[in-house]
Amino acid sequence: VVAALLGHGVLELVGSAVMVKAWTRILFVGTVIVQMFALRAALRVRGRFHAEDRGRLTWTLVSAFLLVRIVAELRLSTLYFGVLPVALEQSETGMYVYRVVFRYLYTVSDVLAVGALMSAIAAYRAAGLHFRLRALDYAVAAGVALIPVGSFALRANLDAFLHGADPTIVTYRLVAVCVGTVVAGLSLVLLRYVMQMGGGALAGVWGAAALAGVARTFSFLALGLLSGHWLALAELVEQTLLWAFACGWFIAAQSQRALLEED
Amino acid sequence: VSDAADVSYLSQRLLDALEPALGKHTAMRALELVCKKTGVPAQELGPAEIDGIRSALRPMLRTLLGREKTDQLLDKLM
Repeated sequence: VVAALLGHGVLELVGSAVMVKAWTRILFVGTVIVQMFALRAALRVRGRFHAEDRGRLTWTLVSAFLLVRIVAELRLSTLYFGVLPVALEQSETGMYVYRVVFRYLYTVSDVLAVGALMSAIAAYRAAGLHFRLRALDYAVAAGVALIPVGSFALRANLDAFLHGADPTIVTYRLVAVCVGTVVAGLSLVLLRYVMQMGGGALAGVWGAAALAGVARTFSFLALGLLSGHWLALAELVEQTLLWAFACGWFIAAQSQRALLEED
Repeated sequence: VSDAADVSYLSQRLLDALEPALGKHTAMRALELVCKKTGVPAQELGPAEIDGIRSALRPMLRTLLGREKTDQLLDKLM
């Protein structure tokens, strides 16, 4: 985020909002590519687990969530870069389904991520090593649960950001931030367990995944907070957090792969 | 288990084998689990408890790391 702010400052000084937008799009493409590498690593990890291992279910869900998310990102890239089939562009119903309904692929992806995180947490709890949450963790979780409230309060910013061009996106964002909050809550639980491990490769895996979940949730909040004042910056910070999210899952999958493949 | 200095050679090997994957604290807790299940304190764990150690660790390791890595770690330990 600091890099995004500095980058935005430099681009504002030497260029224009168009350059900021272009940089945001470059970051978007980078995010999609990192997610593709993360999916490749996650599928390899899945293949290393036996059918009866808990890790098999966890990494099946991780692979599924990344796959659905990449499909959603490819859909978005056709809209960003204007590479839609002419037949689709001429169909009002087709465009509605493509623009509005298929947007919820991100929500499907987030629900699969919730499943993956719950499966990982269940594994920690089932290990019999007494990973615990403290009162402070519950307080933090309660604070995170307020993010949808904040986003709801800031929805007018988002509407202004879109100039009222697409009111359906505000509804989508509110749904997404609710699911994202569940992701963040589970990520914080996982992070708390990881902090009790005293290091180790497995802590690296789930620590990276947990931070990815937190970054994704804060991307919604950043957009809500900033879009009322600095439109280009809001998009850039959101995309930077999504890039961090993609990198987090890539690091998690690569670290798990390294752990399973090392002698 | 209060201190690494209080453990037997086998207990120390167990800690050394688990720590890179599971971390220092989790490895220590795993040793506590082994001691509880075998009924032998960490400073007395020896070759006679090998089977007990394996059966105490296997479910926990399989849950966290999967069958393949568990077999690899237990083979390294023994």
